[in-house]
Amino acid sequence: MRRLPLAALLALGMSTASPARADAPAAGPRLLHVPSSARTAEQGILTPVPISLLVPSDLPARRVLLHYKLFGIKEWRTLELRREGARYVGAIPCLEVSSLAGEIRYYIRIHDIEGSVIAFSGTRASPYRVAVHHPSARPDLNASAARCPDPADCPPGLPGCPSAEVERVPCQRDSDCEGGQSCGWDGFCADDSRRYNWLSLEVSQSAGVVSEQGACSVANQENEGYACYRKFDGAIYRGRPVYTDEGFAAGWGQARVLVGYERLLFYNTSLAARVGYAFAGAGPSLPGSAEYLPYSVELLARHWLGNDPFARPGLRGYLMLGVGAAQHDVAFTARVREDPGAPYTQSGNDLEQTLDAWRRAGDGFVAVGAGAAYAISAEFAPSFELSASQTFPYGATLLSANLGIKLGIK
Amino acid sequence: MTPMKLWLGCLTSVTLGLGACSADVAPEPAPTLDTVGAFVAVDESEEALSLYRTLAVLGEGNSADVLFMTRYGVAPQTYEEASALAKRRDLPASKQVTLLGKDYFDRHDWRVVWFRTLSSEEQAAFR
Repeated sequence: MRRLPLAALLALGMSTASPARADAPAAGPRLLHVPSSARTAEQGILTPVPISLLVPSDLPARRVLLHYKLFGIKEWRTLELRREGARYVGAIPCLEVSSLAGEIRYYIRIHDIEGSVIAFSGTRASPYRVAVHHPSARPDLNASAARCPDPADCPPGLPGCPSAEVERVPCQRDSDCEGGQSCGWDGFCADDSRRYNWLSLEVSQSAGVVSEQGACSVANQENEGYACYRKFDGAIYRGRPVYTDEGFAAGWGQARVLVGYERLLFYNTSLAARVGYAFAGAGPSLPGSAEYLPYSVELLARHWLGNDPFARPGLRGYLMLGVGAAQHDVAFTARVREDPGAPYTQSGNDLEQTLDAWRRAGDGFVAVGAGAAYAISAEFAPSFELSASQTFPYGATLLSANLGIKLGIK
Repeated sequence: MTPMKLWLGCLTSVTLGLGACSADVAPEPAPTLDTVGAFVAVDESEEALSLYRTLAVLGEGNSADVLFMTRYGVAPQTYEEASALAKRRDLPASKQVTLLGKDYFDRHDWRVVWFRTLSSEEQAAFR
């Protein structure tokens, strides 16, 4: 009979491992060596595979997980070994070993209290192997009266009963997880289809509301970012307007192209940065004033609605808050009434006339808004966003509509 | 105060602050007969109104003042029509300047129908 005492061998392997500093996680998980000759074993069908592990006392072990793969089954399963003094023990249930001959593979990983893997013995690529033989081939291995415990009488996890199956493997980082899984924000390994990094390309059109009060006076044109031009000859308006009860004027702003990067920080929270270039809608600059700066920068925080919306494709809505810097030219039509009693400052101004006017608002702004992205797949999502922003110190209230695409990368 | 109310409050105050208060507006001064650049429609004949424009005023601001005016070759039937004509920039003006005493307008009905600051050429003629 070549059946090897797995428990003893593992215990030997653990106990003969060279001591390692448990408080040095930067060095990575500790490898608990087992002699290569002890990496295989044999046994009969319908017999549990006992596992016993002596964990070095300097290891701050919190959970010891046994990962095993049955013959003919694709996925790896996980059991948590229970502690008995200095040892961690458990067994692959005999009901799972079943009556099929083949090979069982397993390895062990030890987690600390935070879920990090601090030691392991065997790996998924180089596991321990237990050959299971049918009585017809190896009657000697099946002579023992090993008996499967009745699951109804023996709940998993109790002493003497099969180990409890672990459905969620604790972790602290992606390297703690295997099989293509990554470490989730809840501290457990999971199949993660989320894309944490997103690149975006958007086209934006804005419209604004500005104060029209005295907008086209020379003082406001020189100091407040307004520029007014007469319709009939295109000349800069330099007249003497009467301040009447103009309120607010609305007009188009710029069309921009925006390129952004967004990082998913938590299930429902992301931070994004956008840079933009205004390619249409900018107003003229008065002689002697600074030229229009078409570039923009913006930082955004988004709260995504729903439960873990990045875990699956589909519609994802969000609310956003942003702050940035940009010049926003708002085009509008200004009505002015000339003061007939004032000394002339410009010829040819009618008593009342309408002017083509712009206000260069900015350069800072804060924004709130809402939007949605429809994830066709995990990596691709067309998006739409509506936002309202207030510029300062040169004020305007802007509404912007963005249409774009988002590309997700791991 | 909820964040939404705080935001709306900020938005309103900033926007209204920039716009000042509409109750603070000044009265709208209107052009008069002796406002340089005023268009004046005068009921001089039974056929139609005459349309003049004040180019300059000589005097001390009383009825003895003399008005330098140009007369346009149009014949509006109403003051509204005269006002509409005055707003046209291609209005044919007489090259002759008419001098009228201010008391002339005491004898006729008249109304200032529009105003436009004089062109540089018109101003240059009286420098």
